[in-house]
Amino acid sequence: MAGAPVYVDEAQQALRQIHDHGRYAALQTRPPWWAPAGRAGLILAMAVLGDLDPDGAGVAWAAAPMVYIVLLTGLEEATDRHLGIRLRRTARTSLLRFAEVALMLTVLFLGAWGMRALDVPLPATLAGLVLAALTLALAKPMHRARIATLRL
Amino acid sequence: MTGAHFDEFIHVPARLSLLALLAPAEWVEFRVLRDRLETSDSALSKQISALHDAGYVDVRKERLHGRRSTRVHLTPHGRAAFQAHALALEQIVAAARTEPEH
Repeated sequence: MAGAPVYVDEAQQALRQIHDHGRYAALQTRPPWWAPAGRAGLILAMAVLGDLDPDGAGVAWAAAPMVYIVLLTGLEEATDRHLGIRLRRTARTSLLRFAEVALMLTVLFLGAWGMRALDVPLPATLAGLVLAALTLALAKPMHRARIATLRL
Repeated sequence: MTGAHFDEFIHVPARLSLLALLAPAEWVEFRVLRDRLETSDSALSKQISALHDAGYVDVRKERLHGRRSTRVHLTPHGRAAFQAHALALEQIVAAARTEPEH
């Protein structure tokens, strides 16, 4: 069939083009350093609050979840504006996010429980420190995993 | 997953690149598309308008903190058409590989 090889070459080139641009766009969604750092800072601030008000009876503690959500949303919006792109959310990326949150909560509860059992001072702050470190450590692998689930 | 369908409208290189950039994203800002495609504002606007008229992309303009932002995203119809086109391209390449040489 005359012309068929050109057609195949064209198809190959188009597929390469799709792959290259898709890969570029996905890599562009990598958050700047201050995004996970900000998230870790917020987690630590919440943990410190837990030690300042261990009974959870104060006004600050009641408002804390709301303030945390507002600040976290603001941080995500600032990241989006900085990057100019947001990675697509699919069922698989949501599942990954759910697994990350479940891991964080497990570490938080086990950490806080363990430190209270050991009777160390500032147990919530120490658990928060562990959680903040985990947030920073997981930022890059989690981003890579999210891209991998999109199967570019 | 949709079936393979070669779409001549999408196959135009400028449009194909644009859709490939939008595919892994929820939305992409106009400036990011322009910088990656190394094209002018007017040329990019023309392609986006054509894709918008075909129902493949949506455009959202907003103004936050004094800065104008134009976010482009694939519609479900556009995503399905793009996936079907990519699948058609893969089938063309696969068929050429399995074709016996004379």
